[in-house]
Amino acid sequence: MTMVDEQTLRHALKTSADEFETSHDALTRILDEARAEEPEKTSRSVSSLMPQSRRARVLSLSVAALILASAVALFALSRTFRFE
Amino acid sequence: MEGSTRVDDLATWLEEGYSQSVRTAYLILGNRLDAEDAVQEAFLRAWKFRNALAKESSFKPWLYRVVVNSCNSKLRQEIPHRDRRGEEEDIASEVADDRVERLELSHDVTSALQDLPDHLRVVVVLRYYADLSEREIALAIGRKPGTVKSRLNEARRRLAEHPALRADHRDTSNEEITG
Repeated sequence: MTMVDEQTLRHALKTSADEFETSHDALTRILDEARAEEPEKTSRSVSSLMPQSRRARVLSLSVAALILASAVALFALSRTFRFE
Repeated sequence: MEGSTRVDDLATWLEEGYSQSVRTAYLILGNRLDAEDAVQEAFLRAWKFRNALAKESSFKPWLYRVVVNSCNSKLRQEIPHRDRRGEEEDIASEVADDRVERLELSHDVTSALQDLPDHLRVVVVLRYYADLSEREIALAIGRKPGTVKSRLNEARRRLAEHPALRADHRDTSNEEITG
C-alpha cells in the first residue's frame, strides 16, 4: 500500500501553517472578553450560590417555597392550638 | 496547570498556545478568518470551563479537544468548499511567486489535505502539525487510539493517491534517481 511519507507531511504542513501570521489584536480581544465576564461572576454573592442550570434553579426555588409554606402553616397551627 | 485560574493565567495559555492553535485550525478549516474565529471561541470556552481541566490528565489534548470541537462547529456550518479552495489557491499563488520550488510540495500537500474528509484531515493535522501522539489525539477527538491509527493510515493512503501528490512523488523520485 502506497502512503505519503510522514516527514514530508510534517515539513509540508509546517511550511504552509507558518505562512499564517497570527494577529495580536485577537489576543487582546479574548482577554478583554474574559475580563468583562470575570467581575460579573465575582460580584454576585447570593446569585453565585444559585445553581447554573435552569432546571436546578426552578427545583431549588420550588423546594424553598415548599419549606416556607410548611413553616407558615405550622406557625398558624401552633397559634390555633394555643388559643384553644 | 490548575483548574482555578484567573484572566492573567488565560494570558499565559494564549502566549503558549494561541499561534499553534490558530495554525492548526487553519489547516483543518482552510480559511484564516474561520480559524481565528474558531480558536477565539475555543480559548474563551476553555477558560470558562477551566474547572473541567482539573479532572483531565493533560492540558494539551484537553485544549486541542476544545479547539477541534470549535472547528467541527464551523465545519457543520457548511462553509462552501469553493471558498476554502479559493483562499488556499490564493495562498498557493503567493507562495509560488515568492518562494523556491520546494515550497510547491507544501502547497500540493495542503491542497490534497483540503480534499480529505473532515475526520481524516483533523487527525492528520493533529499528528503531523500539532505533533500530538496517537493517544493524545484519541483524547482530543474522543475516539480510541486504534481508530486514530486507522484514520491516519487511511489519510496517508488517500494523500498518496491524490493527483497533486502523485505528480510530486514522481518528480521527487526522478530527482533521487538522477541525483
